[in-house]
Amino acid sequence: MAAVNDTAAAPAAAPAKRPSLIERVAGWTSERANPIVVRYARQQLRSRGFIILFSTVLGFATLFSITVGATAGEQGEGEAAFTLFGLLAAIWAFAVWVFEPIAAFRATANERDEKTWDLVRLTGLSPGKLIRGMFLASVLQGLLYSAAIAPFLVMAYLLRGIALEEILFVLFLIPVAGWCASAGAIFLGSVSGSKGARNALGVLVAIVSGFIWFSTLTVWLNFDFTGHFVIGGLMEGPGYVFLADFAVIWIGAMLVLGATILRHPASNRSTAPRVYAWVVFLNGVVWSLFASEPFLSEALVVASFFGALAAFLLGIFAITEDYVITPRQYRETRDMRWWQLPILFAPGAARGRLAYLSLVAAIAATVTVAYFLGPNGSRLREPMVFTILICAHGTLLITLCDAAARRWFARRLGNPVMRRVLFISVFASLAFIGSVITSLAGDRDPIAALTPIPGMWIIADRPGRFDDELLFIILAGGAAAFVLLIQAVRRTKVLERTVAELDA
Amino acid sequence: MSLVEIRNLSRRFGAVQAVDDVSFSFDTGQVFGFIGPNGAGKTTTMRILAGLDEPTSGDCRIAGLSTIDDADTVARRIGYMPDDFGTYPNTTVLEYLDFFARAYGLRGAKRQNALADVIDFCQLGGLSEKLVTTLSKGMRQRLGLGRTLIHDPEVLILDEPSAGLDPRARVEFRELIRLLAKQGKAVLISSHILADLQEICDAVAIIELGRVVTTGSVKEIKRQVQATVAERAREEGARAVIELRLAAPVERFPHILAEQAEVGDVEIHDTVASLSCPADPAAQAALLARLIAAGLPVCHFASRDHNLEDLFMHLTEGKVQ
Repeated sequence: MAAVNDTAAAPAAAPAKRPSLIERVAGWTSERANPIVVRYARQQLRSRGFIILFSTVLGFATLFSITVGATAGEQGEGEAAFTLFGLLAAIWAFAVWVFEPIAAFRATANERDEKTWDLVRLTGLSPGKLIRGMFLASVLQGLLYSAAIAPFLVMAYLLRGIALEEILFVLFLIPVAGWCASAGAIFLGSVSGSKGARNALGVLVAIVSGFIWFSTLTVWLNFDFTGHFVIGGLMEGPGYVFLADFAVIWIGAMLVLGATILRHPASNRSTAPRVYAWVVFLNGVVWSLFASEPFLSEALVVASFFGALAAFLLGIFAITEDYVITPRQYRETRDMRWWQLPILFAPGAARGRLAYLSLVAAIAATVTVAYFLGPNGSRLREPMVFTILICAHGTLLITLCDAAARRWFARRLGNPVMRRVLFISVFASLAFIGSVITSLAGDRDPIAALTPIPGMWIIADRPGRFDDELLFIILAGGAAAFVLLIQAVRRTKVLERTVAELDA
Repeated sequence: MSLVEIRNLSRRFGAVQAVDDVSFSFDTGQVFGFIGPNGAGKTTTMRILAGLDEPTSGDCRIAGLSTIDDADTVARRIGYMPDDFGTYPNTTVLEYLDFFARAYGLRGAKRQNALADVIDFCQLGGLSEKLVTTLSKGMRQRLGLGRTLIHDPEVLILDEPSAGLDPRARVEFRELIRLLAKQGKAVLISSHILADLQEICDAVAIIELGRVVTTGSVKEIKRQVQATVAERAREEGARAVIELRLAAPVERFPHILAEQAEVGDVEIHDTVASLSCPADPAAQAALLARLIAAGLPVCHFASRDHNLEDLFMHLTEGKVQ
């Protein structure tokens, strides 16, 4: 108040200048920006690592430009352009493929490591917002590297000999791949609360991202040859679209899963992954609908294949949940609207079964439509068989493992994590056994054909030879699906009765 | 109905019963002390009250709202300061507070005012451009308190806020908490430095092995303990600790104390001696008469007053889970 009175007593000042539109937009954006983005950007801009790397990128880019520019006359401008372009792409890729994911991983892991996570949770900032903030901050930082390198790329273009499409493609590929890597790193950063596990994952992120960058060095350093080859291959047809779609799906999956893990263990951690599995499938179907007539059935099968992978992962997590729900989950379920489809997406193993079965049913329907739309004896058979087998094997094994974990090994495997561990162990063991049989007895052994992964290859690759095995797996999968449906209906009734009692 | 009520709270971690049927309540403007040895269940109780953990059974209510059922609504009314909180590297004090203000959804002038108020209250003005990683323990605790207050909560939960602080910082921190209570905040505070709590608490709960041993005002608990002590004194052979103050150094009269058969465990500090003698008041009166008759210049002869530390030692057995 004192300040207000002082202002009133002061001599008449010039009228305050009205902020410009840009200033107002900047102010509005800053006020509403994700707090994590604001904090992380401030932190990173002050961090020694970022300053050193940014200076190094600029320094090397300048050095390369001067050196290549000076020798352009000797090697010819076209070749010089490719050399400069490859070198710039390599150093840029290092910044956004290696440094950025590691920084994003560390930031996410530190959020929990430094005992700040509880404080952030108390503010009501949702895990989703936190993870999105981390990702956006990483994207922003990546854009700074891009801005630093862009003038040099223009210079490479001006040297001539390099097509604008190729420059645009690299401008698209490097940042998008960097965002995918950062999203993966953020997910890994959120995976474990244990310091040891986080350290191990940190090493993994550094090794994998370093390896990916190193293995692509050949592409960048021989850009005149491989650049034409790789880019030509991807740009013919809908290469951009597939890459962009895959990137969006990947980034979305990483962010959804990361946020889910960071949610309170007693809260609803089921809805987001279940919805996302459906989004992966429907996204593919929608893209398929845009495909021209001869490719429609093929696109639908591809969409179903990715949907089956998503359903498989969904099944592992949804079916192995506990049947009972926590008070917090009950509250969140109660607050869901009808259009949020609580019957499928609300937490609990009963609804998890329905969510899984509904997605598998939708995939089966899509595959059937694709079958009748496609040409006879078409090339669709292989992906179609894969899709069907993923669903059938998944349903059968998840049902059996879940039943075993809940009935016979309940004392040792009586929680969702151990049920998932059991399933993954059984699945991996069967796949390994199948590989051993295949390597010993060849790929004609019907027992090997019944195993997951190697069996899928064998059946899909030998049309007509293993039809009996295929039919057996489909029937067994169908029977398992029926069991899951019965369990879902019975358990849902029990859950609804309990909820009604709680409401009363 | 009190502002904060904890009802029959229990929390089990596997085989360990961390909190067992804990109940207490406190109100606006009160400072409530939470005392117990390490592993007694203080932090678990505080985390449940803050909404960071779920109880196995029981409930916590703030202004009638459950911290379990209405966790999101209640979270805004709570400021929680853990015993050890993390900071962010390459972040200044102002940026740290600004981040939490933004995270609590404060915008524009409201956020600027909140920041100014907190910086002023916690005396962080000169530190606002300092990196948080360079702050001393005392400054860090003030920053932590500032973060706890940034959204102006009604209830403050402070877990060991003065641990590791030097005496001056402890006194300053105590003053801040008193001020907050005067402003109408309900404060739940735990500490190992029991003298701190004695100074500022309106009421305390003593917890051991996850169970509340006793609860009430420090005066009430003192009265309870003294009644127990008096009852025990009446039992045959019970002993008490007497504080004896002389007009001259006690070491000049060692033989007089040594001659008294019922006196034991004598500790001497200049003119003050602490000694054990029969708890029976008649026996104590007789002892005093004998000491004076023997020429001891007695100024003060009394059972030692119980402070919070004595009460704590008296009521707990030092068991941990």
